[in-house]
Amino acid sequence: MMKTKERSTPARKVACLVVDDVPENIIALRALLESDDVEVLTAQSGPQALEILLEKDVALAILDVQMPEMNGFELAELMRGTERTRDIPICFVTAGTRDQERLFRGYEAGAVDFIYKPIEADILKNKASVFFQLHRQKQQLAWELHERTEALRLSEMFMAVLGHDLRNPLGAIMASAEVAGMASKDDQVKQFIARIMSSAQRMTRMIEDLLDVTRARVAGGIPIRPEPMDLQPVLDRVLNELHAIHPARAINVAAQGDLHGTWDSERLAQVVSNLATNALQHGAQDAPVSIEADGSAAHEVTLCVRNGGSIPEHRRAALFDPFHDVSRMAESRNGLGLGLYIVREIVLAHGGSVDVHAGSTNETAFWVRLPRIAKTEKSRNR
Amino acid sequence: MTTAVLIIDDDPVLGPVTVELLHALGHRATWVDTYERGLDALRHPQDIAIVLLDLQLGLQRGESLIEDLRREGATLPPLLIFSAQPMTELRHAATMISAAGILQKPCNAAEINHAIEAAVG
Repeated sequence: MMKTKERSTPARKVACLVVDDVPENIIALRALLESDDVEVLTAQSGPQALEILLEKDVALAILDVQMPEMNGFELAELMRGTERTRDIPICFVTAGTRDQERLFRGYEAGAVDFIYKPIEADILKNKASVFFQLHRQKQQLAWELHERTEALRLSEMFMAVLGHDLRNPLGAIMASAEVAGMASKDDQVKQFIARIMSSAQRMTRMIEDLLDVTRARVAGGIPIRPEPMDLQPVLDRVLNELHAIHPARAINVAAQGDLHGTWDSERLAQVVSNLATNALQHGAQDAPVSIEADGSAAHEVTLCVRNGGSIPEHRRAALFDPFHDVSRMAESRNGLGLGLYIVREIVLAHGGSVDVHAGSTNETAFWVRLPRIAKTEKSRNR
Repeated sequence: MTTAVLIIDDDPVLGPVTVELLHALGHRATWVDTYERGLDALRHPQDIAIVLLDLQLGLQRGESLIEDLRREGATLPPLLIFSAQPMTELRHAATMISAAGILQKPCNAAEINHAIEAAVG
């Protein structure tokens, strides 16, 4: 059993930094601001304040303007110049006139306020409490974001483990069915076996898709392993597989030019197979599906998969993004509708692009452009 | 062609079923389910023409099983990676232990047969 980790909520207590060279002023401000929810940190000089800021997360800095050596404005400018302290709201305390506000040039970087001596306790308390509240909300949001990100990561990791674990029993189902099929002469039994096999194969593909999508979402892309290859045998192999699954359909393959390049052959087979399967399933059933590869250009190879019928207008926008079209996922009987998403991820990992033309001509064409040599730095793979 | 196959796989259902499938395909097959039994079987591999090797054997790895044996100086028959892990890992493992081929689970009889024939020649 795993131990349940205690969930920590963000700390309610916020810190306020008071910087003043006069100890009496520090005592007065501490008395004003300190409470169960607010910790007051104090410094008597700019350098001492910067030291505290290196370690502490501060909701508000109250800086005396007139200090020897480093004055309040100089300290503030140093704070604005450092990533860690750049966004800390600053409240200057000054005995001077309002003209002094012009002396500070760091307004654009973050919140700045002025308090004039003699300090009116209520005004300072109210101003400070607004910043404390903001800081608490910021902490709360950061905490929530962290929690959600963690939950997402766990669920996607769970998905990857589940996908992997499902393959062993699936392997056992398929092997058992095949042994039974070989042992039996009964046609009806053979028919049942064929159904078990095709269902198991469908499940295998779904698991594969699920793992690819999980990988793409967790790792920021599908990993590819480009090697010098020829696209022609890949097209031939996919065509054979498609003929086996859709024996009654016409599928044409046309290739021209040089189809050699540096790509991931398994992944490109997946691209062609997904696009063609999509065309066979969703395109007009009486029209042929064609797969065209063109390597005439020196720098790239294009792939085009065409089918009859067009895609309804409202479906086109989210075609490559199943997560924004839940209705499509629910409709799809042959998988999760993740095929096009995976196609896009693979093509992007190669540094290519994919487009769809589904105009009024009653024809749909998916175009894939692949640079002759995959630009893997874009894929962020390992 | 009858080939003598050793299956090293810790899955209690898939192991025996694969033995039966290989028998039905006309091969001779034996199955061992742990790292140690795999070591024992492969220390005297005279009767084994090919090995189907799972990568996750309980808490131990199939790759280290092979590396351990090679360190002992054993001469091993051709190896086929037989695992449900992602393809990238299978390819990596295949390079590491110089496997003759890869079978990603689940796979069908034709794929297993094809991989065995290609490996044994």
